[in-house]
Amino acid sequence: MSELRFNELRGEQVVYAIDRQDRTFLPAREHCPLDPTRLGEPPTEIPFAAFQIAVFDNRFPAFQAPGGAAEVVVYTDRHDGSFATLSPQRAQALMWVWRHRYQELGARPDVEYVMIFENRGVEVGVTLHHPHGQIYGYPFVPPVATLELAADERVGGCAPCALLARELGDAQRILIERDGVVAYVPHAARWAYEAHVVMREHRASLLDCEPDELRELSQVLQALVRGYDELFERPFPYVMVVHQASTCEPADSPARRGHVHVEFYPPLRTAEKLKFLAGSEQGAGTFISDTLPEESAVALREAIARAA
Amino acid sequence: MARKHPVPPAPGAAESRRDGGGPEQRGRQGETGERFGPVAVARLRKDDGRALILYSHDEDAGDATDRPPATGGEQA
Repeated sequence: MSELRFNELRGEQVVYAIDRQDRTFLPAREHCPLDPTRLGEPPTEIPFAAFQIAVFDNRFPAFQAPGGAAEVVVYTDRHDGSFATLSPQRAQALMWVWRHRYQELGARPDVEYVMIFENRGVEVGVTLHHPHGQIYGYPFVPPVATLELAADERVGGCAPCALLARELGDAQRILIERDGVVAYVPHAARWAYEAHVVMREHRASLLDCEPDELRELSQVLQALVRGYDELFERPFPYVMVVHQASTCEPADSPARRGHVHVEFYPPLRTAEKLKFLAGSEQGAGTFISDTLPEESAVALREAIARAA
Repeated sequence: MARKHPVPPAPGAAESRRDGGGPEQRGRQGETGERFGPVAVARLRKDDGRALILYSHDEDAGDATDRPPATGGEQA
């Protein structure tokens, strides 16, 4: 069981999940625990010869009941590929899986915030190459979600709605624009190729989205990731996080706030160079970027067009 | 954590409706068939007690329609 300790100086929880030290680390391909189980061989995490999408409790959880949840979401039974190479139908189905997990985990009394995410690439600490994401059910509302609520207070309404309107008005950093979903490099991006994928209408969570919006969300996410891969002609590492309302307020409460958007934090600043979180970022909490978001947006738009 | 809510109903979909659907694979313990929007949900329990949920969807021609992975080596 993990232990939470409150770091007074930072005003944040630190999670000690010491069993994770022994988790599977970059196994040989033939020993991938996320592959389907092969005839006559020991079962993997999924004891079937074939599957489409599988979700299971993490064997090495950062959180577990009654103190939260940690799940693994396997996108496909094929070891190679990525979110970008899934069929459109599979990517759309994944949106519904995310929605289902948000509903079920969010209904648990020990889960106050559901975070769906994917770490891609060894550059961001991936330990298994098989295409997959994760879901954490936090037993508290974590700092980033709290900061987003504070942003709502500053702008006097939904901050993602206000920021989207600003980006659409400016237009310089827009990457993809659809009826229900918009992708852009934010005005004050922290990472060189950071991108946000935002629902055009105000939707507090995936549960509030229309089916057509979920389909568009999957399409835009895939188009963006394909563009990332095209940008430097290599698999592009990133952290992808779905932001939505916390699950600690009643569904009909006016206090339930959030706006579905997906943020990408890619560590590459060039094809070969990584952005490290060093003195200013860690010690002062201030990002220093070598790249202007407007220039990144031009390069990403061109890459997305080439990959389409 | 005492406050807890019924989550809002999803628009445009009859969810968690038990209709006997489910993936082709059949589980070892505790499987149920239900639907959530366009996906079929099968709940199982692994030998060590951990939950395993298999989701399947129609219109899937397998991953045959998948794009090839990006070049430059395996990395997902």
